[in-house]
Amino acid sequence: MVIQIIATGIILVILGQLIAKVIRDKTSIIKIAFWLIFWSIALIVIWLPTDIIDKFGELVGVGRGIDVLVYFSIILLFYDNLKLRSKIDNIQRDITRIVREISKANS
Amino acid sequence: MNSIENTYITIPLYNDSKMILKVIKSLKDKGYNNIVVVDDGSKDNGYEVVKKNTDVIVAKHIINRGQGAALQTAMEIAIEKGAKYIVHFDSDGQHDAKDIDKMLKTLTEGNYDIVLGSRFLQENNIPLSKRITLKLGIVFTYLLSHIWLTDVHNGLRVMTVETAKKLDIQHDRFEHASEILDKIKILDLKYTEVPVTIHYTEYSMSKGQSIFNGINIAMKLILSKIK
Repeated sequence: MVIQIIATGIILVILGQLIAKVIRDKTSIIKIAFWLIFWSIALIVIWLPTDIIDKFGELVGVGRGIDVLVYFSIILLFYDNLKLRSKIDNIQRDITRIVREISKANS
Repeated sequence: MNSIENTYITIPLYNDSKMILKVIKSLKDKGYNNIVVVDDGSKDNGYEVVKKNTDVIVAKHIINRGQGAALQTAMEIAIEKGAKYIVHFDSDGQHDAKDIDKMLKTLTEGNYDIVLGSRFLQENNIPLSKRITLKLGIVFTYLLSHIWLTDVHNGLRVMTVETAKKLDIQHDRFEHASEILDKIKILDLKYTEVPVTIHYTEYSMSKGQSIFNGINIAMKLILSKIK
């Protein structure tokens, strides 16, 4: 029960920040819609009775429902990491382009 | 026919101020006067040394971007200057200027797009650790790029300007060597290997790639493939 209350508090803060961001910058709503939906689902899931989550776990063949959530989180983090790497690569490429242009202009 | 006047030697320079003048002199002695040196944000005064003591084209990356990035900058400058043939040459004194002649000859007479130097096609005293790293690199390159060569990380290459334009190196760091091989395969370029001399000195060995760096490069290449 305590962990559910703590998690709810954290999720509400995150949701609050996301909504504030939407209000500040209306164009970002589509960009952060995914995270709004994600955290809203998370909020519902943590208050679902344990046996329902466990039944879902059995359904996907993992056993405990909480394990499904952990696996899902790892996949999500891995995906986010790859996306981040790709973004960094693009920035690195842009830096090289700038450095190259300066270098050529001064040669 | 070889056209030495239209041949540009591109040299990426990083912390090699002690060796670069010797390298430039060896090239000039062989008649190669079109030399483009790109100092890749060296911590030493390589750029100033070249600028002050030679008449070659010299440019400087204000921050270090890697050997691949410096080579691409040098190639772009050479292309702008009207190069017909472009040579990749190292700044650490490992390569021998006399090999360029035969590589150029092979390129023009055989109508190749690119000629790659190979240290394994002639007697070179290659240290064992280096030999192992390079042989692993050959197998790895075959698995990743499906191109079988006797030497995959030799920085001595001679190519036509059309090839240089097509290569357009995107990998800034040492992965560029594998990227070039990848593109040879993808672009279906006509290539061959020519035996070259590699001078293994204490100095050049201290600057070479270790097996751990090799693993790091391999990881980056695998990641770039799955992205």
